[in-house]
Order: sequence, then structure tokens, then C-alpha cells
Amino acid sequence: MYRALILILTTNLFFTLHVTGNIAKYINVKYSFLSYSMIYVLFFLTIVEIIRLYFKGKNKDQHDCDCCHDHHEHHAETKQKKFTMKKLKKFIGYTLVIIPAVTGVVLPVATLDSELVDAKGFSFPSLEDGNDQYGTHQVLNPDMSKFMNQGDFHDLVSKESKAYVGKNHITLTDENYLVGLEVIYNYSGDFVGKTLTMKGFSYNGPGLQANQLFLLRFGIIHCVADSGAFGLMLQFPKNIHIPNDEWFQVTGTMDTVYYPQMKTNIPVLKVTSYKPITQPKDPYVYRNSFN
Amino acid sequence: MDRILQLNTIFISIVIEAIPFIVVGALVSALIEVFVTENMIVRIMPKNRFLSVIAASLIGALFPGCECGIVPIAARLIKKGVAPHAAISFMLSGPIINPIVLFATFIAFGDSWRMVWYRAGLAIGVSILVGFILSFIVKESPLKLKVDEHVHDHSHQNIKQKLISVITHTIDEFFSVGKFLVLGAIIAASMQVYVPTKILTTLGGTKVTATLVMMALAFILSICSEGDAFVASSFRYSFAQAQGSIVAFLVFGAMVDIKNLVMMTGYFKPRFVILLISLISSFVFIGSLLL
Repeated sequence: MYRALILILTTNLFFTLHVTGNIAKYINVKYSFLSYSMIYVLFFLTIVEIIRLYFKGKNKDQHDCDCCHDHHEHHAETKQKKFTMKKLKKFIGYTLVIIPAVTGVVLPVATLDSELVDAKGFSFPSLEDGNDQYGTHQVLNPDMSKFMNQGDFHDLVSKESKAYVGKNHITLTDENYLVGLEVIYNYSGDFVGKTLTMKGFSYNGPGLQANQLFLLRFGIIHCVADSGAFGLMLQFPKNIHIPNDEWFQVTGTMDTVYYPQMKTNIPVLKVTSYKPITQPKDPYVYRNSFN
Repeated sequence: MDRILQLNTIFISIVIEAIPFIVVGALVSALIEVFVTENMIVRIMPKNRFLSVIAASLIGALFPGCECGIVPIAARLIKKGVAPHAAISFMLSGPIINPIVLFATFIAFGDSWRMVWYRAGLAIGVSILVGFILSFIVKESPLKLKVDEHVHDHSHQNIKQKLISVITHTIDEFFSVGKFLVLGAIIAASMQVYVPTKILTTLGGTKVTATLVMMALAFILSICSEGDAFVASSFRYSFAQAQGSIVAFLVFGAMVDIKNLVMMTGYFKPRFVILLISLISSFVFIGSLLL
């Protein structure tokens, strides 16, 4: 009974997420075929479970796969105790499984914002002490090299960089945001003086001057749980007071600047014009492929 | 409230990413449960202790199951005459080196083979070493004397009944695995939202402590090996020394965790379980430090 209910609710979770399009706020849509197929699979399992329930009700004495493993128990009292424990365990188990099926539909999808940048960490380990490839956090620079063969990674980045280095005005779109940033961070010198346009939300990171700000977007590699905040430091001609989580479209000139928090030079966008925008329909950017 | 919603969003994203893999894993393990008999495996197992340990460690590649589903199978193999060291090697590597788990690992780490090789390699290494040592130490049966005789015998069923058994077993396994996944996803999501990364990174500041922290997490979170890669990948930015500790998480968690420890003590003598866990933790720890 509970099982059939949980199965149909879980089917409904996948169904609802796909129908409303909210699935993109949870996972990289590149892998959505997996969750899409679950609508059919779970629905099928629900039907089977209901049929099983029907026959179980019809034929109570029949051998049942859930049956208790205490066939050799002779003391009625212990049996009773065991039975209660088992019921309690089952109840807890079902309660757990039903949680996502309910909260995923009832509660609104939250958008990751600057608060989560704080929780996920905005601390940069020093880049000075050695070329530790595992030493950088997934903030600002979408560094995929950690989990890729170094040689392959450099091939990939130099291949990607050819598409950008030649241009004088670069626009980071939803599609090329992560790849573009990766190239900019890896070849920051080549981009000095070029014009760049990008969107993102404001984040007052640690160690910034009064005319500096970060413009970030959350990038999803696989699902929201593995997301990180990626973006660039902005430098305005004069001091600014912009709270966190305001969305902007910014155009400016690329340069590099020493960022004390990171103890290294990072790319910076010297803002020439900016305008507030509404949060994009899909606030996240996705890593589409590695080539 | 915002935090709760963000927590829920991360939680749901972990669950919907993992469910397809759990369902497929449940289905394949149900197929094997119904169609493959223990006798078939016994027939092909070598008698020599070294060969049998190596063979058992590799056979796991064909035997998709998670670390909780495989415990009763290993116990049943021992009862049917498979040497304990071989059955244990199989139990340890099986949940990790099967294609479904490796594919899940591949996707969870952004289509990267690197983690897949590390995970499989360390798992096979640990299971072979543990098997070798057990073959010298364990002389008597590690099984508890009064192990429940409850066995599903599907050999008398016709093909239609078998197919029905496959589906009902799939549902059973979905539920028995699902509750641990949900619990693990809630804990993992809470950590992402509430625990500032700084605390983790100070705890796991060095390679040694990061590895220990991740092994402890793997134990506590108790996520099925089919879904744990997604959770592990969400931790990869929590530590400076990520890689080795993530591999430790992926290997240790799929061999020992809260939920399968409970199952193991149900089948094996306590002394044997303590010995087994000490061996596994030592080898996983040393192995991942060498990565």
C-alpha cells in the first residue's frame, strides 16, 4: 500500500519536473534522458506493485517476499517485540523514501545565490606554493583540469582559446560561459585590452577594494550539488555600493590585477558600461562537453 | 527559510540524479538473483587460494549489486562451499567494479575516466589483499552459527514466474536502497548549505586528515555504490587535497558503511567483522595516500 503510494509519488516528481521544465534547475539537461526515462520505469513499477498488492490481499497466506525472517522463532513475546521493531523500521524507511517525492513537488525550487557562495567557500588557497593542481577551488575559474589528464587538458584549452584569442570583442553567453572563462583564466595575458561583455550576479567577496566586485554565475557540471560559482572580478572607475545578488550585464576592458586573497594575479574586467537586468530564466550555466 | 529551500534543492538534485542508477542496479541485481544460481559460480571458482581471490575480485565486474545487496549473497556463497576469502573478495570488489557503478562514476565526475580507473584499481587492489590475508588467518567458518535459512529459490519457477520475480525484486531493492540514499542525500545537502567549507578544509587540511575525514563521511553517509559517486563529486571542492580522499570515499564507502555493517553483523561473527573492517580501512587509507 505505502510502496505503491511512494512509487506513484516518485513518478509524479519526475513527471512534474519535466513538465514544468524545472529539471534544468536541478541537473545538467545533458543528462535529462536518464531522469526522463524514470517517469516510464517508475510508473511501470507502480502498476506492478498495485497488481502485487491486489493478489496479496486476495491470497493472504501466500509466500511473500517481504516475509519476516523469523521462521525459527518460538517465543511469542520476543516475536511480538521483533515484529514491532520491524514495523518501526519499515515506517522509518518509507518515511525517508517519501520525503523527496513530496518536497520536490511541494517546495519551490531555490536558486543558488551569494549566500551559498559563502557556504561553499570563497577561500582561495595560495597558488604560490607549488603548482598544486588540486589546490584551487571551484570558484571563479572553472578549472576542469583536476579530473583530466594534464596533457589532454592543455590540448583542449589551447583548442578552445583559438576561438577567443582572435576576437577583439568577446561576449560570454549562456552556452560559452564556462568554456570562455576557462580560457580567459588560463591565458589571461592574451586577453588584456580586449573588450568583454558578460552577465552575472554581484558578489562582494573578501579582500575587495571599494571599487571592486565579483560578477558570478553558478555553473553546473552534473547536478546542483556539484555546482560552483564562476565569474570575473569587476573594477569600476569609482567606488560603488552594490549589494549581493543583483543581476547585471557588464561590458568592459580586460586586464589583470593582483588579488591579495588569492595571492596571485587574476583577470579583471574594467567596467566601461553596466546595466541592471532581471535574473535570466535559467540562472545557471552548464558544462556541455569537454570538446 | 531560504537556506531550507536551497538545502531541499540540492537534496532533490542528488536524489533525482541517483535514482536512475539505483533502479537499473536494482533491476540487474534482481535478474541475477533470479536467473543465476550459486552453483554456476561455484563451478567456475578455482580451488587455489591465490587464483580464487583474484578470480573472485574480478567476477564482481559481472555482478552488479550494491554493498548491502551483496552481503547476503556472499554469506550464501560461503554456505554453498565457496572459500570465505574468495567470497569476501567478491563482496568487496563487486559493488565497485561493475559497469553500472563505473558508468555512474564516469558521469558524476563530468565524463572523466580518471576517477573510474582510480576507483576500480584501488577497489581491486584492496579486495585482493584483504582476500589473501583472510585466506591465511581465517580457518573456521566466519558465518554465525544460526544464520537464517530463508532463501528465495527461483529454480522451480517457469519463465513467466521468473520475470515477475525479477520485477518484484527490483521494487524490493529499490525500497531497501532508497531509504539509505535519501538519508545520505539529506546529510550531504545539509553539509553543503550549513557547513562553511572552511571547517571542512581545516579538518581535511592535509592529505592524511582529508582522507580520514572522507572515509568517516563515506561510513556515515552510507550511500549505495550506485549513487555515491554523485555525492562524492559534490565534495570534490571541499578539500584542497581532493583526489586521494575522494577515491578513499568511493572505495571505502562501497565496502563498509553503517547500513552494510549492520547487515554484516547479522551474517558474520563479530570478531570476523572487526578483522575485516580493520583490514579494509588500513588498505584503503594507505592506498589512497599513494594516489
